[in-house]
Amino acid sequence: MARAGAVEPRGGQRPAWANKLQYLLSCIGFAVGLGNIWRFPYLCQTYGGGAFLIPYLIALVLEGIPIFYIELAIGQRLRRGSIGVWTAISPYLGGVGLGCLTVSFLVSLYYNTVLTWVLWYLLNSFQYPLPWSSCPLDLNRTGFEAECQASSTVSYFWYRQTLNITADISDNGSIQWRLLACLAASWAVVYLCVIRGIESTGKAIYFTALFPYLVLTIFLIRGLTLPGAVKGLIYLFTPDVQVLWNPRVWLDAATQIFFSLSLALGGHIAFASYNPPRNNCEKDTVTIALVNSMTSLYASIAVFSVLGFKAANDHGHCLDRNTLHLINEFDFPDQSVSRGDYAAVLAHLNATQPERVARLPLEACRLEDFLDKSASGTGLAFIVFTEAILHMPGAPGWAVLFFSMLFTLGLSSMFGNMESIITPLLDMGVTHRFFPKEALTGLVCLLCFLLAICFTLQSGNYWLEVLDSYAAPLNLVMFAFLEVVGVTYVYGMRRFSDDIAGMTGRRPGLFWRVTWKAVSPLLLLSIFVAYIAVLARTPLSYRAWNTQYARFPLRQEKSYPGWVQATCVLLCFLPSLWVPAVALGQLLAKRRWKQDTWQDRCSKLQDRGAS
Amino acid sequence: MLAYAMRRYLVQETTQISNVLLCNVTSRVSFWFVVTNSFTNMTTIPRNDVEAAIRMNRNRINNAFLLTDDTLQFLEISSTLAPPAEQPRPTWLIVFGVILGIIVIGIVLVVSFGIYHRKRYKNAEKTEDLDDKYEAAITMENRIPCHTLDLKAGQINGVYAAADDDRFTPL
Repeated sequence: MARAGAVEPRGGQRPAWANKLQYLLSCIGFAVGLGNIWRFPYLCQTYGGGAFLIPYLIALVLEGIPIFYIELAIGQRLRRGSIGVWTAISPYLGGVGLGCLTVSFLVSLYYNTVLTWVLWYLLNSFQYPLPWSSCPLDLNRTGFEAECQASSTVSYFWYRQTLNITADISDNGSIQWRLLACLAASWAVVYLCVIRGIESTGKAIYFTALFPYLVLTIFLIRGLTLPGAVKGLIYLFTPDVQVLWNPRVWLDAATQIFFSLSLALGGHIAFASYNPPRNNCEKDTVTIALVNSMTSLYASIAVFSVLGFKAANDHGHCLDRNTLHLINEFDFPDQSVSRGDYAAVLAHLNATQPERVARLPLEACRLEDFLDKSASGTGLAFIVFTEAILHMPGAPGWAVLFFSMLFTLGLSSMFGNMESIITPLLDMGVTHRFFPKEALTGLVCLLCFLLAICFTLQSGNYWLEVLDSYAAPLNLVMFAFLEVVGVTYVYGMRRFSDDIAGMTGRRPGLFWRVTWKAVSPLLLLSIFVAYIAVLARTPLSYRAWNTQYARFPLRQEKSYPGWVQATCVLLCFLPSLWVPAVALGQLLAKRRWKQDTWQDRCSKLQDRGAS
Repeated sequence: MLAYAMRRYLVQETTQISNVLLCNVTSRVSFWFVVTNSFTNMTTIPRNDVEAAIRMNRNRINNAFLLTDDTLQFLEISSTLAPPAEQPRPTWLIVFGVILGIIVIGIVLVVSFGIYHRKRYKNAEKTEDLDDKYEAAITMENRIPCHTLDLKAGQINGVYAAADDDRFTPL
């Protein structure tokens, strides 16, 4: 067929993977990202531990793997990036590709800003003692800074010395030059690796995809040997099956699988388009999806053991503070009450002198309370984990390892994001064939860097949360739905099955056909509707770090100002507007073409009649 | 110790141990004290002066008992804290400079290698064009110069020669 040997817009051969391993590692690196470390463990912890695996696996099998297979197969077959693929399937569906490109662009902007923060922490880890281990002193040097004293050293370092955050999203503040420098460095790293497309990322991916596994293993071994880790693991993984009745769990499992595999961004289509035409993409799909899920599990074991250690540590300190109160009040000798004796001593005192005990400001120290403290996202990495690392012997080394792992994890995902932007641009032939690829990549990186400068403002974190919550989710679900429907119904199941037979050697089985035709589209539609329902019910608000807040250090719940709310709503569906826009444009263009040819034919007939 | 502290502060050599009066001594080594004016044994030295004296000599007092600010506590006298260890130059800037330097060098190398590679490829194309023109002078049949082919004898297709005669239907 003509498409298999389609002419490259820039002439010459289409670039190809140097070997299969590079392709697999690139897809794995793209799928395995920061979310595997800081979103999956949080979901496990919140939704009943091991019980969460049930909806997660069901979503993986019924939704994640089928859509993933479609992306890899269609990219490999049509040998084009996302725009080319959808335009080839049907000119009316070209908007899907453009929408994927837009969402990838927005995601790259804020994803690399997170990498900037990781880089900042990494650079600060090369010193002893770590800068987030102590508070700076106040002006007359008799105590610590009030903000630091009220919250904690790690929160202070994150909110004040890193972000220098303002109390409100409309208060922009100034550009933080330290973060700006780190932003430039991280975009420079991305440029260096993506500079020649898969030629350069293929070499970089060996390190960026494999190094995180090495560090995770080291952390796993260290984590399991820490005191309190095993108790934490057992508690956090103990399944609570009751939680499965909550529909929110199923929605979160489905969306987690969706974003974990980085579907509908166009990156996997781009990667697969560089494959040789005969490649078993079915095996690739299952391999990559399983590796991604296994990594999530592996990471959550490491994370939970460290969290268990931290909870045990905090529990011990709580007991120590209470013991000090008791010793001071009842004049016991110093260090006469150990942590183990505390409960017995307290019970005895409560029985003999309850009034004096009641007057003491004793905290309730329960290990489960500390274990239940969950955090996800930047909170887990920059607050909870950094504090846990402080208590490990050899803290700077662990900090360096941890943040370089996060950096390489994010970097390999950025490769996929950049490829999903650059491959369609190259395929569309936006640049002259003698315009070097390096220059196009450089222009894209430069544009992204300039736009991302707004995240280095003092209110940058709030804007990042806006983009993270509203730009990607709904649009990607919509695009995935159109992908499945487009390939199954518009491209045709029979044609697609023939293509797969040509690529893998046999036609897709009943499982694939059923999921593609019915199960996945229905699942996606229900996710879409459920997501809109959840969004409509939750008020558009954010949690601000306000030192003047009465209940500081708790974050203050504020609602977005009107113009920000409008931005959120626009972000939710603006990229999807490409689809009807392109379809309408195609319709009008076709009608005009028909009119023109009709007029041509009429005038030709008239001429012939006249002569 | 306290007498010593008062002496240092007031620059009076006359304060003696007997001027420091203790009361409420407990077995956990805590007590209340007042310091009387050495000149008039009745009046006490005001609290602020005593506080200031202790603050000035806190280190000395601690060292005498081999205790620290955490273990020897003067109620309502907050200790002057030592500032956290400040690096002479910001460490992160050094590491940042190193990393950025490596990246910039890497980018320059890759770009210049690409330009060099492209120039060489263009030269190679030019020489290939010349070769083509030269080869066009020789008559070609399927990129094989005609004069090497033995046109009279013809070519024997080995497939048919090696095949069994049984495979072909006999006439």
